[in-house]
Amino acid sequence: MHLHFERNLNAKCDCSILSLTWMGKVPDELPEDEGWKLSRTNYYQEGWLAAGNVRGIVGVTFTTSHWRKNSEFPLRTNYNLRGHRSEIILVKWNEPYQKLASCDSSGIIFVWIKYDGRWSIELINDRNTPVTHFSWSHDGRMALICYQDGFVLVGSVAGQRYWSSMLSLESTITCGLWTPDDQQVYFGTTSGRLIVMDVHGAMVSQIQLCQDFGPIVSMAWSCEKFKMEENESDTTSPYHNRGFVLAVCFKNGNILLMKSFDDVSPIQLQTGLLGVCIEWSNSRQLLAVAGTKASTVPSDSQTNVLQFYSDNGVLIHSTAIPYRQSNVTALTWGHNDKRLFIATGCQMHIAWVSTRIASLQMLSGLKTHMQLKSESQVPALPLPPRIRVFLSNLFAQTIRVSECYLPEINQMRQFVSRPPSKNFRLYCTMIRHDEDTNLTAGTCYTLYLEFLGGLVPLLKGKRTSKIKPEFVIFDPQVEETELLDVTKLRLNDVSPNGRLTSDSSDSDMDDGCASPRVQMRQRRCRRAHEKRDLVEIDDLTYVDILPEYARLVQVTSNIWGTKFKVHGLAKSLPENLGHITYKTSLLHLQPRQMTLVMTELGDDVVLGPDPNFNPHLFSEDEDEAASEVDQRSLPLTDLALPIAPMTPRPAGESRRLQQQSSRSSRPSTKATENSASLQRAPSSLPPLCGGEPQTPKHTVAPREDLPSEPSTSMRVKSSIKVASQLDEAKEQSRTKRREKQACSHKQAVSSLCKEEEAAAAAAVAAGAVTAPGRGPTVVNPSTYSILLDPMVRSCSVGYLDLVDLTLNSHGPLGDPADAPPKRLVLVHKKEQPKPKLSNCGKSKSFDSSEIFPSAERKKQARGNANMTFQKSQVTRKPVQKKEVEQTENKDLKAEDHVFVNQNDGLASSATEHNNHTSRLPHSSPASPALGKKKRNQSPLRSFALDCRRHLLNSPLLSRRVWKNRNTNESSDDEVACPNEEVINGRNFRDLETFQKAQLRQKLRKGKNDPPSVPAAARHREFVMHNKAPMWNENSQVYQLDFGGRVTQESAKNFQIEFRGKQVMQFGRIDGNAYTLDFQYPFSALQAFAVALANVTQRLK
Amino acid sequence: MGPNAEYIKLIAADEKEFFVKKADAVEVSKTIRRILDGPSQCKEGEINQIELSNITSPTLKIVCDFLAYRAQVNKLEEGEDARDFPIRPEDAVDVLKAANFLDC
Repeated sequence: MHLHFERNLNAKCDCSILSLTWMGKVPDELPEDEGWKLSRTNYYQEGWLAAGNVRGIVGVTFTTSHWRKNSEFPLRTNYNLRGHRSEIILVKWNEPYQKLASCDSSGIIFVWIKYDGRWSIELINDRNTPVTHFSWSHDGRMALICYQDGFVLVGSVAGQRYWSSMLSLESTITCGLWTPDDQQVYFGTTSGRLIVMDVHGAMVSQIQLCQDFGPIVSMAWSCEKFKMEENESDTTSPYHNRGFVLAVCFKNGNILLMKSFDDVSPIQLQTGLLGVCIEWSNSRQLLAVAGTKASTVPSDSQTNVLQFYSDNGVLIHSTAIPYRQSNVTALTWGHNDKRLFIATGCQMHIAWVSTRIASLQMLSGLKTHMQLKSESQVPALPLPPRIRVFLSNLFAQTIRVSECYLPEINQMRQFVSRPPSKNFRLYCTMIRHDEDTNLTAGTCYTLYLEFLGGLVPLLKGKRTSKIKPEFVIFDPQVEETELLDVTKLRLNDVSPNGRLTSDSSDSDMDDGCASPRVQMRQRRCRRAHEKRDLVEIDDLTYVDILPEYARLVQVTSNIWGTKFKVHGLAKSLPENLGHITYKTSLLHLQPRQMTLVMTELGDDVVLGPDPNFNPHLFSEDEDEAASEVDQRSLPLTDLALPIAPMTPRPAGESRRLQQQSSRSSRPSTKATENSASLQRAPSSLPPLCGGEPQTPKHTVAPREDLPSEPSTSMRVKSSIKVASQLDEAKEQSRTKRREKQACSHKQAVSSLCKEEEAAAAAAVAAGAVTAPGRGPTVVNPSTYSILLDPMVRSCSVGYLDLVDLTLNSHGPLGDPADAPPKRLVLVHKKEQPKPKLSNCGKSKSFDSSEIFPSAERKKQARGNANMTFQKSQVTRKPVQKKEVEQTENKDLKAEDHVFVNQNDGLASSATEHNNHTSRLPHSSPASPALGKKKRNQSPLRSFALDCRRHLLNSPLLSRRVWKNRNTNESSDDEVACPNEEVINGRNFRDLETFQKAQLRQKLRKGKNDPPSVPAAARHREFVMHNKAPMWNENSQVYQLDFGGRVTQESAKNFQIEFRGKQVMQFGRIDGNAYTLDFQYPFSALQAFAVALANVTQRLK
Repeated sequence: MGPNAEYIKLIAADEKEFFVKKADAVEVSKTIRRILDGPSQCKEGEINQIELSNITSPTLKIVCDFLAYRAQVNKLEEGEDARDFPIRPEDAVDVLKAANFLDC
């Protein structure tokens, strides 16, 4: 056989791994009726490795044996499961039921189950007695638990107790396991006895094995860990265990191979190893034995040896494990016996195992591979391409997580200053350590990436001011020589503590009760020592102690701690990385509201100083802030404007109009007023989009404004449709009929008095108008439900008031997420497209009524409305130019169809939904039909949207418009959602859009970094808000769903949304530990900076 | 020398000659097997000698050693295991090329 160890020194945990278990990864699809049909060769190419460590964390990490680098990864490749309060002595997968059992040293057993992408505790078993062993039966249905006091228990996988028994023994049971047929259980004791009981708890036999061997430490049957094929379990045969071999491992390193418990002539193996871990391969041919060579000469380094025995006791292979600093602590097979995972303390070793004899190609390839420092050297070799590919494949990592999850040590800086690639999320922990080292004063924070149950240090931040909450973040990457110096320096500091490296587990025995500070120090010491060892071996490992040499980022703050700026100090970063503004309510009664403006970091970011960015300049008054910044940025904008913009509306007028339109209950029938209300937006935009402090008007009492905003969007969109429809002269003849329908529809809705609802109804009708012309067969049933999903999310625009509003409006109208009835409607709709078509003639009055949503109240119909429509056309023209009227609305197909479906019989609830779905018509790339349509969008549409956007810069609306823009710019973009705005200095479709953009910028107040400055215009900025928590009446707390990642209540917990999707969350898990998860558009640096800003106490 | 000879001759680029057992070579190296047993019956199969102009003699020596090693390993009892065939790091790249060509 052939075996070699993977070169992967980063496969390590920051503390000792005490137990390992591996399970094949099942496909993501739902199981068939009788469960997954697994083929070991296919499905076992990917799997999950669970590791329990001394700090009480279970790591569940994705592993793959694919050679291909770009194989697909699950969305999340690592879980650090928290819950245990003492060291984890055992982890065991239950493969048939896809559960994980973990036992800690205090005797608590958790059974974890993965549901909805998260692992949560399904069962807790606590008998207040330490557990010595736990094992699942081979069919996965039963669990056997052995306690230190002789109590044994057999229960079901669901937690039901079958039987239990207190065995009165003078010795302790150390291990228990099921026979291959699950009909008996065997126990091994410290006195070397083997106890056999049947499945019902009746004692069968007790055998004293070789007495001079001492205690039994573990046992293993040479059968597969789990019977994954049902027909295999022929339990009727009493000889079912025949052919299997039981390996009984003693503390002195001897192993007995027995055919059954009464085997009179067992094979005795003398491994010569101590601290032995054993496990049979699934093929039942190989017994892997790993331990430390018992050495007569005391030395500070041991030799760890891995041996393989056949089932008749022949030593097949023996090799040294290339790591001497710690004993072997755990071992498990994986990937259908192609991989063997061995933990020596905190280090994980992965052996590639093949039972065949290695070819010369393989051997020479490995030899070559060993000489290369990194994969990047492969192309430089004078080799044909196919051999290069072969060599590259040897670099494949089994614990690969994903390329973007775990950084190469020499790419740390790059890693932290770029957002993770799309959809990948980084799961991190941030820890505060007040007394970091004796070298530095000031509170330090370290950001760690969670990996393999441990933490990989990414970034270190330090508070720099005692008065203001200001921080610096240090560069995690230093040159190699410096790195060694730093390490040595630190080692000198720690060594007086006299901690030994090899046995790291003892220091964490008291993990549960020791103060976190002490723990930190202990970890630090240990890490330092391990670091030294590793540096000697290979300097490609992580710097466990992050350097404090170069400053990368500075977080500055105002004196109140309510405004922060993230300031890039390194040349590789733009100066302005973003800013954060807090709005805390009086006495902190309300949840915090925060606004983030983040610069998108990418490879195309223009670096260098930003003349407009002053990290220390903060406006002191929130209300004045916007205008102050405005003053600063406006002249620049003017200078940069090459083309004279269109005249913006005077702010005073707009404001007045805004007030008018914001009175939601007021019937607005005059065209002038309406069109004016369309223009009010620019004045109301800046406080939100600029990322500067909110004006109280918007943050505290948005309720007043909000109803009108969605409706405004409705109006404009519909107006555009109207314009295009008007061009179709043929349809004019059908106007009357359509009108009638519209009116009757509105009457149905009229019970809902809110203006926004009426607007939505209008939109529905408009959809009905436009859709049938293109044939309703294009409707994709999935569209609707997908559209509803973001609708629910749209509740979280960042303001509690708004949430309440949307929720209330949902409430009486039934569950908005219920798609099925609508689907029925959809089918119904398809069946009779004809009548719809006949109804769909363009109706001026109807269209106008959507511009004046409250028109239905008056129950006056066509004439009047007709007239108003004309007016609105007139007023709109000068602003939007002629193109608007020519705008094709084919690209609106998808949403239109949705509207049609709902319009057809869903009455009021449908209209209510429409109000929300219409905000997000293109937000569902999951639907192929939608995606296709998006790609067909014309520049005209982009223009139209731009017009709308320009005209209607209300916070909600702009988000929506951006989403549409987004789909224009790149149809492959990720989920486009409404919850953000973008400032983009490029990508203008034509002159008009460019002009609009310029104008928009000019109008935008509170914009800190005007993209109109050409040099700084190359990056985008995103405005984001925190998600408003829900008030839970029962428990009287604000709540957010952190996916099980946050365990402590704190006002500092928050989630940030971007395009309707939660992209960052931060929450407390311990007195001074927090989890920080983030994804695009956050880079690690930015996320860390936001977290640092967030942990400080605010004065105001 | 002849079609039924027990040994075959491998000729390196520098014209040094190596004799290996035909049975071993054919079993281990798929390329040699194809040359000798190929349906075309090319002249190498007739005279049982193969010119390997892309392999130098030091490398070819290692290859021949490996052929012998594999033959030995194949004769081992089941359950017994042999040590990995040793390759010096400095030879690795050349051997890799040769092994890839000979498919062994």
